[in-house]
Amino acid sequence: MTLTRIEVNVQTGEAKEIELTSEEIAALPEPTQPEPAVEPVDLRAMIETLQAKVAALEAQ
Amino acid sequence: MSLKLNSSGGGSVTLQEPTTASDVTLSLPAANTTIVGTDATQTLTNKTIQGGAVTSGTAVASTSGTAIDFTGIPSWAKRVTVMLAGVSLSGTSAIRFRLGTSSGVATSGYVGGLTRTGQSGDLTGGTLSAGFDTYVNSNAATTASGDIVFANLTGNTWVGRGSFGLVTGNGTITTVAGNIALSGTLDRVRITTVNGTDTFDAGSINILYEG
Repeated sequence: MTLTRIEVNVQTGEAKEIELTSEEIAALPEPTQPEPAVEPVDLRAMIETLQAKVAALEAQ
Repeated sequence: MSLKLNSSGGGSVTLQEPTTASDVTLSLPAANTTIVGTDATQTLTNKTIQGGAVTSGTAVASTSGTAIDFTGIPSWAKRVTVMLAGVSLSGTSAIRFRLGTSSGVATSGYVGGLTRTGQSGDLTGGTLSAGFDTYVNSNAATTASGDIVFANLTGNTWVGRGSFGLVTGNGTITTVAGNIALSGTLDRVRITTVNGTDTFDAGSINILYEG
C-alpha cells in the first residue's frame, strides 16, 4: 500500500498529494495493539447484589 | 520652512515640516500613484496587513493520506486554530497534531496530557510526547469534530488546547492540552495519526491563523 500525505499551502491554496519517502516510512512508530474496548458496567445489578449480601449478613 | 506648490487651478499645496529636532525623511514611491489621505474612505490595494485579522486557509477533504499538512503559515502568526468536522480514520488509531518549521515537523518535545470522558465513563488520561494526541478510540467508524488552538507564548514556544467530540453511537469528548518549544519559527501544522499508517477516510479540515 502506498502511503501519502496531503500538503496544503495556506497562502496560495495549492494542495498536492505527496508519497511518503522511505525515510518517513522508516520513522513511523511500531504497530501497537489497539486499546481494548471498555465493557459497560451494570451498576444497578451490582448495587442489588451488594444489598442482598448486606441483608444476608444482617440476618445472621 | 514650508514649501508651497501653486496649482494651475488657482489653489496650492503646502509641504509643512514637523516640529521635531530630528531629521525625518519622507520617501515618495518611484511610480505614478496617489498618496492616500484621510479626507474620505479609501481602498487599500497591493497592501498586506500583517495581523489584526483572522485568515482562513483552504478546507481540505480528509478522505485520503496518512497526514495533512498546512504549510506556509506566516511568521507573524500568533495563534493558529485547526478545525475538524466529521473526521474519520481507516483504523482505530488516534488523531495527532504536530507543529513544525521550514526544516520539518517536530516529532518530539511535546509536554502535556489528554483524557476522554463520556460514553464509557472517564478514562485514565495519558501524557504527550510525540504530538498533541486525541484519545485512542476502539472503533474505526468514530468521527471527530472540534478544534485545537495553538497560541504563541513567547519566542518559538507554543501552547495548544483542543477538545473534540467523538461520535460512534453515543458521544464522548476528548481533550488535550500541552506545549512545545520549536527549534525555529512555526510555519506548518500536521494532522496525522498516532500509528502513522491509518489513513483519513471522511470529513474535512481547515485552519485559521491570526497575528
